[in-house]
Parts: sequence; C-alpha cells; structure tokens
Amino acid sequence: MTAYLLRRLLQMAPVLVLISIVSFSLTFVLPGDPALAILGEQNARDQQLYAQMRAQLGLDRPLPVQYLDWASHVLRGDLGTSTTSRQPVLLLIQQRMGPTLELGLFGFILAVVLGVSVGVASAVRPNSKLDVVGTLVAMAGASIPHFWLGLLLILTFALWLRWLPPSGYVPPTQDVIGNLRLMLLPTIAVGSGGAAVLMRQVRSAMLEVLGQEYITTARAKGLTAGAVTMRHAFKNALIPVVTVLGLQIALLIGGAVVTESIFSIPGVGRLAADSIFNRDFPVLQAIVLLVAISVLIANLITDFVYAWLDPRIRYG
Amino acid sequence: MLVVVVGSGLLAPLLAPYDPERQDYAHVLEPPSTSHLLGTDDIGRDILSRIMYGARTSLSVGLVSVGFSVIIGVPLGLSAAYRGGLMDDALMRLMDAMTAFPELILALGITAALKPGLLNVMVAIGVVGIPQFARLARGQALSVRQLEYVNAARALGAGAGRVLAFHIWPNSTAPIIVQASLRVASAIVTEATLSFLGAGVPPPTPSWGSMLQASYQYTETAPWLAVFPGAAIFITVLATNVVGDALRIVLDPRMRKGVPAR
Repeated sequence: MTAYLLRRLLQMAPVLVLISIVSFSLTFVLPGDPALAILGEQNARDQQLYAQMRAQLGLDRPLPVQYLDWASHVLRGDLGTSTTSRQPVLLLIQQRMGPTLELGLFGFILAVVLGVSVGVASAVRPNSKLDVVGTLVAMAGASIPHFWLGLLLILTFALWLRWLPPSGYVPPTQDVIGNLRLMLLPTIAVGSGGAAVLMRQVRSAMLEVLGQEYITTARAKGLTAGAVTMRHAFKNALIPVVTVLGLQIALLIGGAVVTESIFSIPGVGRLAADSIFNRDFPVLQAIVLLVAISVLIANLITDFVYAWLDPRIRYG
Repeated sequence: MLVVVVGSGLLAPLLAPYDPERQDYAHVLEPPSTSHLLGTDDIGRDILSRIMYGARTSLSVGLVSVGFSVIIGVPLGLSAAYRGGLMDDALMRLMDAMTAFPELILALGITAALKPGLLNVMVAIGVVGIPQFARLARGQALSVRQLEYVNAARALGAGAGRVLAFHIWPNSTAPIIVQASLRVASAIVTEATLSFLGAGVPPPTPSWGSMLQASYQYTETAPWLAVFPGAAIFITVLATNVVGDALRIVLDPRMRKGVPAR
C-alpha cells in the first residue's frame, strides 16, 4: 500500500508543474496589460512611467525567469497583490473561503445522502414505483442547468411563496438559523446535479453486484436482506461510486462560480467571476492554481480510497 | 423532443413569428399572449423567436465544440497508446493537468483570453473536452493494439498511420460516439453558463444563456423571461442525454443483453 501511495504521489509532481505553468500562462494570454490596468489609460501614455511600472511588476524580464520567480513566491505562500483592491491575494481568498467551503460541503452532503439512499433503494426494488420515479428524477436532475434551477428556486421559494430569503450571506458564527435559511436554496442548486449522477451510478453499480453469485450465496446462508445489501453488495458497488464522488468535487467548484453569483454569496467562486471581468490577473491566477491543486488532491484521495476498497488496485 | 428543437432551429427563419432582434418599445415585458406566445423581453423582442434562433446557437456550439474535441483528442489518444513510452507519458500527464481545472473555470479562462464570441466559445468548450476523448481513445486503442489482426497488419508492412486509421480506430468508435453524444449536452450547458456569466456569445446574437442573464433583474416582475429559455436548455439537454443513453444501449453488447454497464 505504501509503495502504491508513493508511486501516486510521484506521478503528481509533473502534473503539478504543468498546472503551475498553465496558471502562470494566464497572465500572458488574457487580453489587457497589467501595467496598463494599474496605471489607467491616461497615466500609461507617459512612456517612462509605463516602463517603470512594467519593470516594477517584473514584466520586462524573460518569461522563464518570471515563471521561476512567480513559482518561488507561490511556494512561500505569496500569491501576489490584487490589481483591483490592492490587497494580498492570499488574504482575499482566505476571506472568501468560508462561504465556498460551506456551500461545497452542504452540496456534497446533499449529493451523497440523496444519491446513495435513493440509488440503493431503487436497485433493491428494480422497476418499483420508487425506482421509476427515482430514475426519472435522476435523469431530469442530471440535465437541469445549475443556474436555471437556482433562478427557479428563487422564483418559487423566495419571490412567490416567500418562505426563504432570495439571496445574501450571513456567517454561521453570527446567526446559525439565518445562515441555514440563506444556504438552503444554493445547496439544492449546487448539489442536485451531483445527487442525480450519484443516484444513477449507485443504482447501476448495485444492480450489477446484486446479480453476482456470492450475493445468492449470502442470501442462501440466511442473511437478512439488509445485511446482504449493505455488508456484501454496497461495499463492492462503491468503486464506481467513489469515481463519481471524486469528479463531483470539480463540478461543485465549477458550480460555485455560478451559484455564488446568482445567490450573491461572497465566496471564491464569485471572486473568480469578478476577477475575470475586472481583469484582475493575480487573483484569477491564484484561484485557478488553488482550484486545480484541490481537484488533484481530491483525485489522489479517490485513488487512495480505491486502493483501500480493492486490494487488486494496490497490488496491480 | 430533440427533433423539435433541431427542426425549430433549422427552420427558424420560416417558423419564427418575429425577427429575433426587432425591438418594439410599445410591447416591453409583455406576458405570454396570442400575439407573443411566450411574451416579450425588456426591449420588446419576441421570446419565442429568440428561443428558436437561440437553438441554432446552442446546437452549433454543442456540435462544433464536440467535433473539435474529437478531431484533436482522438488522434492524440490513439497515437499515445500506439507509440507508448515517453510520448504516452507526456501526453497523459498533460491531459491530467487539463482535467485538474474544473470545466467551467478553464472555459472561462480561455474565453477571457480569446474575448467573448461564438467561435471562441466553441474553441474554449472544444479545448476543455479534449482530455475526455484522448483518454477514451487511448484506453480503447490499448485494448485493441495487441490483438492478432493488428499484429498481422503490422507484419504485412502497414505503417503507424495506416494501422491507427484503418485497424485501431474503426474498432474504437462505439464508446467515442456515445461519449460525443453525451458531451454535446454538457457543451450546451457550458455555453449557456458562459453566456449567463457574460463571457459567452455576445448580444444581440440570440443565446439561451444570455437570455437568462438578461432575465435576472426581472425575475419577480417578468418570470417568463427566466422560465422559457431555461426550459429550452433543459429539454434539449434532457433529450440529448436520452439519445446518448439509447446509443450506449445499442452500441454496448453488455447492455443489450440486459446487464447494466458501469
């Protein structure tokens, strides 16, 4: 197991370097000049001032030198300064991390609880009413765009029924109930897609496992239906489910960009969307890098869980 | 459903009741009525006509971007598997790095780099889809390349290009067709999301995502602005997913025999 983990960690190194190069390149492929953005059109007409700013930002050096300099700063936790707010990027991201983590966690919990429970129930009784309804809802849930679902939820529960507030954010440390009321609709918007995909995956994997001979043997031994389903079938159906869960992390982060924009949640997703429109390259660069590293870590955890679930993987 | 969407897009100039870009300030934010079946927007444009023309945008983005991903991704995956060694390792690590960026974030970055526009949105979504097809083609090619008929072709003197094009590719197509059909659905959603965020197809070109973006400030007073374009996206994506699932059942012998595939 240790050798497998080490091998996976070593494979991560070149990918991390590639990710850092892609993130660094964003500064150069995005239209607009950071020096121009800081100085403004008027001041940038002064060639000397413009050249000074480019030198101050290090933009007059060769690209490999700039990359190595940037990478060494990143490794020391210095992600640069926002060109819009003039604050350190790391501080900006730290300030916005709470709402995004909360939304991601709630969305993930919703996806797992709903997806796994309905998926297992559907597989245990195939073609029952619950299975038919669950399959239809899963198909619809996997096809509905996050942002449209968000708009429909606001329209129905906030504007028509007036049960919940339409948008905004209150930290749970200030008002727990207020926070939960504000987070309920965004959680449904961001987690429903994942729940639908998981539901289909769990059902499919469970049906395949429940048809195996060792399940018949377990039943023949006189085990209860619950024991057969959970102890014998579910663990062996988990591998494809874990794959989907790993992929959901990336989807949740992508979904956060839109969901936070619709529900006015001051999180990292909204910061990313704002940074694109404000041409705030250091912020965008840092978010893209951190998000990619988070997804890479999620993939690594997924692989470790595979190896734990199935010995053939770690010895293969 | 898909036939209706494709038909209304193709025949939009004949079927649409109004010019999708015609502004009519005497009839702004009108609810659905007999003269405007799905109502009008904030500058009096007919929603039904814009949805019909928007179908052209969504479907063309879906098809062209997936075509782009297939044309670039499949040869990359096939060559990586056939050549193996350093080329395989380098390409697959590059694909790993690309998949580490969430699809929307990468597409947002690319459209920001290329500036919003229909062609650039197609390229951005196409680039994002390349790793899926490269990996799928590589996996298929790896399972086929050691088969006897491929060795026989090589022994007869066939070059790498010929073996890949005539012997490996034809036996790898089924899962790629299925993946492409499912990918069209996600490409349509990504285009709509980019347009919703203001980074997609710029106005006045009708796009379902930008129609939803414009509806945002009128959600309470004119809900039809949000409901109908969103329903168009939902129905199209649902229909495309159903077609993708049906193709999977037809092309996968395991599923034809009633065994669910993973």
